[in-house]
Amino acid sequence: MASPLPQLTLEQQKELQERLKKMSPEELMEFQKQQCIFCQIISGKIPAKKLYEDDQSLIILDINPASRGHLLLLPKKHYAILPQLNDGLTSHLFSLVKKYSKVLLKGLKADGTTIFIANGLVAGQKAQHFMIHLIPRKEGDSIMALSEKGFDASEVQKVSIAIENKLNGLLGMKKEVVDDHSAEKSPSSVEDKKAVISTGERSSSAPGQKSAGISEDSMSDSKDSSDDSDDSSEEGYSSGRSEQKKPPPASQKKASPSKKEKKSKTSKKEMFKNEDKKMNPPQQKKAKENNEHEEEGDGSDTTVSLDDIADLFR
Amino acid sequence: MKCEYCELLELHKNIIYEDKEVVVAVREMASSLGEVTIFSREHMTILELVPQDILAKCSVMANKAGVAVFEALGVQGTNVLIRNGLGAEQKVPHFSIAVIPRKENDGLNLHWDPQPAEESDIEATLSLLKEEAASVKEEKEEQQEERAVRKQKEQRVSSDNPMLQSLRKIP
Repeated sequence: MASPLPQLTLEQQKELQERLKKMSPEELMEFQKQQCIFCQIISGKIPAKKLYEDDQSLIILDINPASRGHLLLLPKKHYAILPQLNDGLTSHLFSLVKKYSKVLLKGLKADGTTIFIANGLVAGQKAQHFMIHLIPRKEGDSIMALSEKGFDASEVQKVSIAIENKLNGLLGMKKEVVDDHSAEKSPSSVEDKKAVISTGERSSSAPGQKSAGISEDSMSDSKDSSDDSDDSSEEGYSSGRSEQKKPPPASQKKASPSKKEKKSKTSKKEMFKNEDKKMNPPQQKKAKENNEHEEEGDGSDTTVSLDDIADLFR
Repeated sequence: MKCEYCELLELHKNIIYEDKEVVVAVREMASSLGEVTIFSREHMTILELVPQDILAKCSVMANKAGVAVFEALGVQGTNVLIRNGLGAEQKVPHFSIAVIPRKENDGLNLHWDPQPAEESDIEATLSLLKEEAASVKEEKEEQQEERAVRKQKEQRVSSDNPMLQSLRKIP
């Protein structure tokens, strides 16, 4: 199983997929690890220019550098994307980023450093192993000429509300900001329920937080709640953007655990498979919602879909 | 000229999260719609000046903001980017992390052309950086000590009793 797989016939591919389907998540992780070139660098099977190493992380020089001194900072454990990393590891890696950015600035007399992470194929991710690029820069080196433009304020407002609600959810703040317009359209019972939770939470656990100054009226009035399940409060996060997307059907609440798991896999797969972007949007959204709480936990949820692994052989 | 981020904070504009150390904003001036900017509340120009604990909070917040962007916008990817220093296109003189939502064919230029490097060059760079890293480490420890001293001082000042404070005002 550990041997590299250069070219597979269709039959072999099928056989492999069958085998992958029978594997437990742990086995899958192990299998993926064996196919990952960076995991092999970490385990010492492939030589590399190691600049720094500790029990959690490794810094090597990129063999195809954007500029002299281009560094790659890798966690030793195999993760595909940043959201899979827990807070402790994220902080640790960024403390190394800070130190080695300084090393580059001073050692190579660089004019600046670009710290770059790509999550997903469309973001330019090339390897299956999560990494942080540290690129020493010189004035006028024409690496990454990223342009900016001014976006329409109301558009920005709309997406900003959607992001804020998601972020609040991830931070465990049961508070919702609602756009004036969408508030009229969204189901009020869910919001009322949320209002009860949020007012309580705000005073106790999150004193420093503020809303973005958008109408909170819908949160403050009625306190009658028509629905008591936890799922309903989670669903509430979506109502703020009901203008953009249709709210999920009520049956969504009753999704069985196994169904949830399946969907969460779908959403991860989606980050890597650009061919899959035609997946129908409401389903996509559901998958993401279900995924929310798994992601937020300790971040160590490394469920990988079969297609991810299959992708490696293309 | 006023710092753009400090101004956002003052006007409370485009801000979706803030606490004592970290601020998260969705700005109108962006590379992609829904780009999230995470910056330190205190005005610090570059990464190297950001204290470890604040950097840790910023990075964790950037990670969470990335998840929020994935979920809220249904995008297929994100870039996390720190433009550190003028040579790296840093536009606002205030440390920040950008989380950029990505879609296929969005035309954003985050590419680079690999520069072929000789084995001997890479070796030379490696030993140079190793040396530099060794000296930076010592400096870092010094800085931490400095910071500890500074904190102590701050605490002492704040715990001064009013009598002492009024004494200081006497010429």
